[in-house]
Amino acid sequence: MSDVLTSLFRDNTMWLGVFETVYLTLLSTALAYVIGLPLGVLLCTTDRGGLTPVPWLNKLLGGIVNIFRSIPFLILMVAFLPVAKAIVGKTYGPAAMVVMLVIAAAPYIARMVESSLKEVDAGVVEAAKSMGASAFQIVRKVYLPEAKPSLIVGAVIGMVTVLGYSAMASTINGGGLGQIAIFYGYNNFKDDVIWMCVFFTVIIVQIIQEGGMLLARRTDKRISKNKKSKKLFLRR
Amino acid sequence: MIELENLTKIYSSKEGETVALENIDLTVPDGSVFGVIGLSGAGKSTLVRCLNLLEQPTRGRVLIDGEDITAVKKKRLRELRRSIGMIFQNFNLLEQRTVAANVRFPLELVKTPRAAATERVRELLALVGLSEKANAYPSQLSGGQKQRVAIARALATNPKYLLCDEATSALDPATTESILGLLKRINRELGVTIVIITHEMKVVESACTHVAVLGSSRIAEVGKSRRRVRVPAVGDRKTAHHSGAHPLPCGDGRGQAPPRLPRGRERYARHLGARHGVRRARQHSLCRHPQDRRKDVRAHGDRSPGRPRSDRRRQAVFNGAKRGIQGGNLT
Repeated sequence: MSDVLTSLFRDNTMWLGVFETVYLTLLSTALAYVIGLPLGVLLCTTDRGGLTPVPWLNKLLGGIVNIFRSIPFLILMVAFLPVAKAIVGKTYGPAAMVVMLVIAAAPYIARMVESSLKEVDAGVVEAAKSMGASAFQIVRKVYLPEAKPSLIVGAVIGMVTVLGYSAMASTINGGGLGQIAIFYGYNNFKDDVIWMCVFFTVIIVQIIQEGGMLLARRTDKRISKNKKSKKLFLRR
Repeated sequence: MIELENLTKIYSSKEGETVALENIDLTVPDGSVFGVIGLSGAGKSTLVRCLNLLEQPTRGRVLIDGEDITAVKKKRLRELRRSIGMIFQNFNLLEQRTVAANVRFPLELVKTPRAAATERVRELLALVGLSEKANAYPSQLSGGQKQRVAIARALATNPKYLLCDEATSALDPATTESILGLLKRINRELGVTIVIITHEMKVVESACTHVAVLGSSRIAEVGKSRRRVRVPAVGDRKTAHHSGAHPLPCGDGRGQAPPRLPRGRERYARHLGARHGVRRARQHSLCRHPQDRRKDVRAHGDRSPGRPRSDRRRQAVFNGAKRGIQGGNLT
């Protein structure tokens, strides 16, 4: 273990990095959902054969989403620095990084949400329609609750992607494990620091992934038969 | 009263136009259980979906109690839809909600106060006989139970009409009977007018007061009760036949001889549900006409050929017995 790594643990820089990574990932994903969720709903409902088909709006939104998704994150980050400056007043630091992550993740999440909602059985939507539900009611009471397990799975995938992006964002002083790996590890030729950061990242991803999947399974009432038998088994 | 005037539905796609319904005129009287029967692709589902405008008709009018729903505003249409319940072949329950929450769904849509909604849900679940399943999820229910939940849900807002789109087609005969019994009870006790779309003649026979035969996009025959279902004009004779209808003789007015009225064995086989005439039905012991049995007995001595024999009996026959075990040599 190199002296750099021990000192990183001693003055808690490493733990701070872990915390920052988790915190920034969660915050960015949450903000990305603020934009991505409505966008995904619109993409789903305005599509041909959707709830309220508006082909031109669907094409427009789809086009915008595709453009953003086709730009590699590293390039997007450099290109959109002025946007970060306009929003948070700086082109570096954690705040600027969150802006970048949201810009990159929102279109991605919109597509995730869209595909989750499209999995909802068209028959159920039709049943709600036949009961006199408005389009808004159908989205709120049918689409979103029925797609909940799938949406949670999507959120997990989105979060892991954002975590990956956040490491790249360390180049603008975003903070977190990525920055520690680059500054203390790569620049100082300390491989053990890099590997320690990788180790922590893997742990975080595992926790998000497994936790999210567990939550998705718990919320899904379609397979509750098995869950019940499991519960009975545990009680015994 | 539901009236269809000159209803036409044409689906247009790149390959061309498909006429699903052509100039349909139909009146569903209040208080009736109205069956619409026809082969797959005859346009039955399109017809029922036009009644609450899930499908927009290409031409023609749909009058619900005299109000043309093809011309009303969206908001009014939603109100009207609340007076028309609908159930489906695939039940279409909300999988992530409990049974009680499913039934509460239409009440939530109209913002019924919580206490009143809870009370109404209890009432409805009692009506369909699923009170003890209130907290179960749809995935824990059988098909028949799911359809009962769907019926309770469709009735939540006290609709005047109930549309059933192939509601029993995914159910076994016994469950179908019980669902039809429930529908009949709802018709009788709550005075709900019911429209049943089906391809099963049995459904029409057991539940409907009126019936329309839909053959290739047109109404081929309308009548009151099953006795009036007749073989429609030539091209559509198949429709009635394949639906298992007992065709009664009636010419088509164009010099065609009336179709043969099945009697005796064939009629009996048809009655038992045979669709391919008596010959194939005969192979099935359930479809055996009493006459056949007598004949078998005459031809084969004291045993009828269809019956499975016990090992002992088979052994005896193998050993040359002609008159059963008693007369045979068992060793």
